[in-house]
Amino acid sequence: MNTVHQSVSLKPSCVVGIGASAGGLEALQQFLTFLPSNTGMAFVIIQHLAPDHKSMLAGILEKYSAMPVTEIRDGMTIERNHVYMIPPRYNVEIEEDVLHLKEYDLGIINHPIDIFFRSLAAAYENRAVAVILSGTGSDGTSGIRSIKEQNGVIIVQTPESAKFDGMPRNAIATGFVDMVQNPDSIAKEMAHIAASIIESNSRFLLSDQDLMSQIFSILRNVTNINYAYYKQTTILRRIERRLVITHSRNLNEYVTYLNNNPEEAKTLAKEVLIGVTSFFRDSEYFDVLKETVIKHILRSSPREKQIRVWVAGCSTGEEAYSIAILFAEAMEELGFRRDIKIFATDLESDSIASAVRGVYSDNIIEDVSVTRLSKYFTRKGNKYVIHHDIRQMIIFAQHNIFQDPPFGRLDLISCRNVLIYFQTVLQRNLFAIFHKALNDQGYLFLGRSESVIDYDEIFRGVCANEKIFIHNIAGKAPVHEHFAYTMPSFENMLEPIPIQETEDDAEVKHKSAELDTSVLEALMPACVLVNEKNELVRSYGDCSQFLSIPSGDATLDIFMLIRPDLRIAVSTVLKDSREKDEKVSYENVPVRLSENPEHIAIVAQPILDRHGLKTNFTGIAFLRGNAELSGNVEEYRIDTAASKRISDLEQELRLTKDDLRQTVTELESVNAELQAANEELLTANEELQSSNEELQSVNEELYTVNSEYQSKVNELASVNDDMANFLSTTLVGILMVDKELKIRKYTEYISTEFNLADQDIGRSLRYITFNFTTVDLMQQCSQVLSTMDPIEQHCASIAGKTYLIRIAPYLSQEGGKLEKADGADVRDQMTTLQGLVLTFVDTTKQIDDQEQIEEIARALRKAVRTGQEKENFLSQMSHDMRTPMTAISGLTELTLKDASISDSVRDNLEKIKMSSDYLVGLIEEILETSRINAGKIVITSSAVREETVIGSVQTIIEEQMRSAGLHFSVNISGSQNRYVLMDVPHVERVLLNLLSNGIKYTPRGGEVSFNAEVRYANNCAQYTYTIRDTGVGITDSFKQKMFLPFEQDIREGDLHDGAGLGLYICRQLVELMGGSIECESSIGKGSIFTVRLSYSLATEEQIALSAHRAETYEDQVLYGKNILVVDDNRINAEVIIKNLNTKGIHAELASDGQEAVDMFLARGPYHYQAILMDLMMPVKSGEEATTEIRHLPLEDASTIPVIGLTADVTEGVEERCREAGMNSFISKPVESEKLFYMLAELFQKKEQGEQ
Amino acid sequence: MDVLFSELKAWGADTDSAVRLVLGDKGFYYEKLSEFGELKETELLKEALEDKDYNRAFRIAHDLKGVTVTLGLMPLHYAAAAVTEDLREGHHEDLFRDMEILLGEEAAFLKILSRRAV
Repeated sequence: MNTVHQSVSLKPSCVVGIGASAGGLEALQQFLTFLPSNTGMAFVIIQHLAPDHKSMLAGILEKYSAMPVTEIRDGMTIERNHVYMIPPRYNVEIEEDVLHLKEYDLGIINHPIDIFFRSLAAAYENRAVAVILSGTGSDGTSGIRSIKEQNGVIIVQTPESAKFDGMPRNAIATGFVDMVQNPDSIAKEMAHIAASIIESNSRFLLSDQDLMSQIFSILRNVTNINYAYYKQTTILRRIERRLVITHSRNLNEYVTYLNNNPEEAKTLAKEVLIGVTSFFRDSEYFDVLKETVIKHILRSSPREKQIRVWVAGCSTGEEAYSIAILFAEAMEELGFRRDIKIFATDLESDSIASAVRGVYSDNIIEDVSVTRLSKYFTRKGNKYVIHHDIRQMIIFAQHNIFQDPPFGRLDLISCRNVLIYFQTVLQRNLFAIFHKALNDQGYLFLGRSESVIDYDEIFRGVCANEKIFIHNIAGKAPVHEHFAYTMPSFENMLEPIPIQETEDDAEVKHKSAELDTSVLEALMPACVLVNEKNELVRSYGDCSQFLSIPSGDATLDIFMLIRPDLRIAVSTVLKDSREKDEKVSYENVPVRLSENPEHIAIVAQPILDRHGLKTNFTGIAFLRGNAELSGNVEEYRIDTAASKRISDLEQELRLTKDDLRQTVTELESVNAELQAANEELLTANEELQSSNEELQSVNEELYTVNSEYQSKVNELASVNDDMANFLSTTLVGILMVDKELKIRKYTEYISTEFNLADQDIGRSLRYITFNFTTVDLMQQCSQVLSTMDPIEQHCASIAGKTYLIRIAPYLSQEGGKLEKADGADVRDQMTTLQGLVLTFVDTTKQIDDQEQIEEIARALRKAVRTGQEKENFLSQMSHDMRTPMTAISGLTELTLKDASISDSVRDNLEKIKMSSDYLVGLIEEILETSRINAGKIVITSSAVREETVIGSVQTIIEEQMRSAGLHFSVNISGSQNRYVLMDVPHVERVLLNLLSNGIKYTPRGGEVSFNAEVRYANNCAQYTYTIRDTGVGITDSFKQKMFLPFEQDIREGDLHDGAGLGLYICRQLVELMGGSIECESSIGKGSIFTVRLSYSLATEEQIALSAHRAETYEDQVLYGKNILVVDDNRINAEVIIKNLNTKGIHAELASDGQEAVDMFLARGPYHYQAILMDLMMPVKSGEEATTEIRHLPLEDASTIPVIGLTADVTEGVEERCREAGMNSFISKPVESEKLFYMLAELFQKKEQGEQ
Repeated sequence: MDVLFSELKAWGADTDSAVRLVLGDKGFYYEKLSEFGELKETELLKEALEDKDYNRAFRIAHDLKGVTVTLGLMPLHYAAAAVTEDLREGHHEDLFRDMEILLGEEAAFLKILSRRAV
């Protein structure tokens, strides 16, 4: 269950796909730098990468993000606050929360960003965020359509900030983009988007109808469109997205924003109307449409009839163009043409403007087949432009279906994915409109998820699956309210963009030519100049009687312009003149220019240029009257001329026929060749386009690789700088040489002993002089080169300095080739010897210092020895004194019990007892001090209720306070009386000591208070104990030394006794427990001692152990016992004590037999419940000590269990132990279970014995 | 730390038992090993032998034998036991050889300890 819960919690709130290409690295670095690391989103970076190049991007980008940056592995589960990086050669898709990798085919154009965005939209719907950063091309443009369709957020880098603006600009051109910002702003926006998307799911549960009405009202004012009958969910989804973009926290805020920003109302209206469309969307539906509907319409329509189609809600025109293409294809396949008129309308003006242009990004290759692309589009740069023929079929117009009158007499209406925006009431109206607009048996083509609701009798399914319906005009229409049309809006109809004709250059007319013309016009007879095509080029003189403009199409053909009665004559003379290439004149040509018939002469002459060369022009002059003719003058006879003319025409016709036949043959051949060539060109063109795209793609990849290298180069430069600075500033001489001992690098510092300069780099070390005469450097270098073992040696330079020289091999790690093993890249590492590194460390000062240190150490050792000797003396003396003093005290007490002694003797004995008790106390303190100094006091903590110690201290001291006539108060604040780990005896000892001092130094009637204040922090109980008295106070001079051993504040008349060790012991114990002690005091006012100690809170196990809830009887028996461990080897003793502590056994340590005897005696009867005694010890062996203890005058001396410890398991050990008075023995290493068992058994026996 | 224990095992130590003896507290065990490494008991033993103070030597060797078995340093333990027996039995002629072994094992132990200091 936990695992499931954990995996749910790791899921991202939404996933951000980031598409980048050339120049993307810089944008990504900027983006990640400013990206918060706790948005709860996951980020997937789809960067165009070179397929054969191992990407370093993850490593580079990691430095810019606090989130982990991971290269994607197939099947990886996506987690929140993680960045994922596409690997080279793969496309990434996301399904639920798992990333899948698919290797792509290197031979085809790949759009990894589109692929990922589409899968992201499907998987995360409105929780998908698409970001497009720098890059060329249009990858991502198609993908954001899917994101938009699912109401996701789309953010694009500003083209100005992008290194390459192709991808951002193409994305912006779609009109789907929500925000255009710089990468840093996009990053900062992420946290807001994440929060808004999480909130949005619940935000509209409380949607307010009043506010919605306000929004509709605003939209109506701005767009003149009533959105009230549009689907609320669609509008709400758009509003929801706008809330995110405008940073509005709720609908109320958004309405205010709308009121203040008219532009936002336009944007929202546009968002509501925005249609996501594509060419041949649901291509199988379009195939059926073409075969079933379009071909049927074409076949059944009369030739002269115009076929009318209405594409309602055409958005950016893809659907209209798709239908036009289908008509073009169908007509081609059927082998005839028809007049097609497609009316494509939309409410949104920007969409219509875009549709009119007919220019689309290269992403349409995913929707449009290569054949259609080459046939109906022209590629311009990275855009596709629709062909003129297709464009001509369509009339685009901004049109409101419900307000503007519909188109009529239609054969087909395509209205796809429009109904989904409307509520049922609007849908019914729309069908009523279509009912009026469509011809009977006309067709209606709807979107994949749309239906004809109540109009199923009017629109009957032809291909129900493909949503194609046929119009049955006789069907019964349902009754409902109809909307009235308003002003028609066809004034906005947009005609196809006219293709600009190329203007001919204006003719240059010279003034002289104009004069010439005027003269000729005035003086010349009527003349015309014709070209080889018999076209009139120019006329001179008054030709009005000979030429006239015929009705019909305008023409320059001279035979059409010339008077009919002169046609034969002119054609004959023209032909003659051309054939003979000379001037030919016909005279007496009859003509009726006026009422009376008359004869004129016609002269035809080929025209030469100014150089006398032949031109294509022939001049024809019409001469009236008796003009004198020269040259070839023939009498014009109409019959001869006519028969000649007929013969000529027949000849010409024959020739023309032959020519025509030949031309047709040639044309057919050429046509076939051209067709073949055209196909080849088409293929070549496609290949070139493909190659071009590949090159572009490779170029982008190279750019990315280059950026990565650039980044690495910068890192290397930085490392080099570090290295150079290190080498120039280090106070260690470093010399690097290659295998031939040629110098590669050196530090400045080395030049103090080597005569080196920069020009010596590359020279062999053999030729460099240096100041070391006592060492053969060359020989040692050779040795290290051969053995590869470093050498270290001390040597002195001529200058008197000493150095530590180290010669070590210079090894380089060389990577082997990349291999794939189990899907992981493996890089072989080979170490090769490249040369040597010689290090010279100046040890002159170090050696001098070393000598000084040794001298100081000698002095210190001597002082310590003296101190130790002094302490040993005191300790030894105390040992020696304690036994007789104890005996004196004991014997005195015995004697005092004798009733027969006299009063004076009793008085003396009491004084002896008091003095001896004082001396024993003094000796105890000295011995304890000695143990502290020798580090023999071990702090052992066990779990106790924290107030326990305060209670026990209070109980002990209260009686003494009363006896001393003092007012005593105890106060605890902040305590929760929890279980803490505390060394109770030592804490008690400290507190009792301080309180005893209070009693000692406070006059009768005074006050002593004991406060304990607790704070809990860091799993500890932090205690501040305050012991306050109203006593005599402490002098300032004594305050300085009050915690030193054997220091006492002795004042006149002072009756207080002691050795001056109490406070010293207190401080030592407090410090051993990790605490502190301090004192404030004023003479005559009293003193305040503050002790601060911190106790760890006990764990359940520790409490269980201490609370005597042990599972075994053995544990119960052992818990809380106090054992004296006697072993001269501290390590062994500590191991034993560690084991004892686990059972809640308190242990004290004595380091030899004598100390054990002393401690046993000093602690008094029943202080210890057992003794673990090592046999072999200095001063006094374990056997001797046990024997002595057994004879001490203490009640438990003979009964306390003593267990011998020995590493010696030779024969007779057991007997020796028994003889010495030990109960048992155990061999080393001391196994805890064995020891516990033995102890428990002994305790039990002892208990039974006592009973 | 585990590398140190592995190397000690390879040398002959019974670190598993020793760690068990200190209730699995590897940190404590390592601490005690380090303390033992600084004790220089063999030097004291050598001095005692040089002074021909065989009683002192016996006590030190015996102590060494005890602590090394606690710490599972078996090669040292066996060597210390041999020296203890030489002294107990009065076989002083074997002392030099057994001391050499002891010192050799101690050097080996110290080398491992210094190389793998945690």
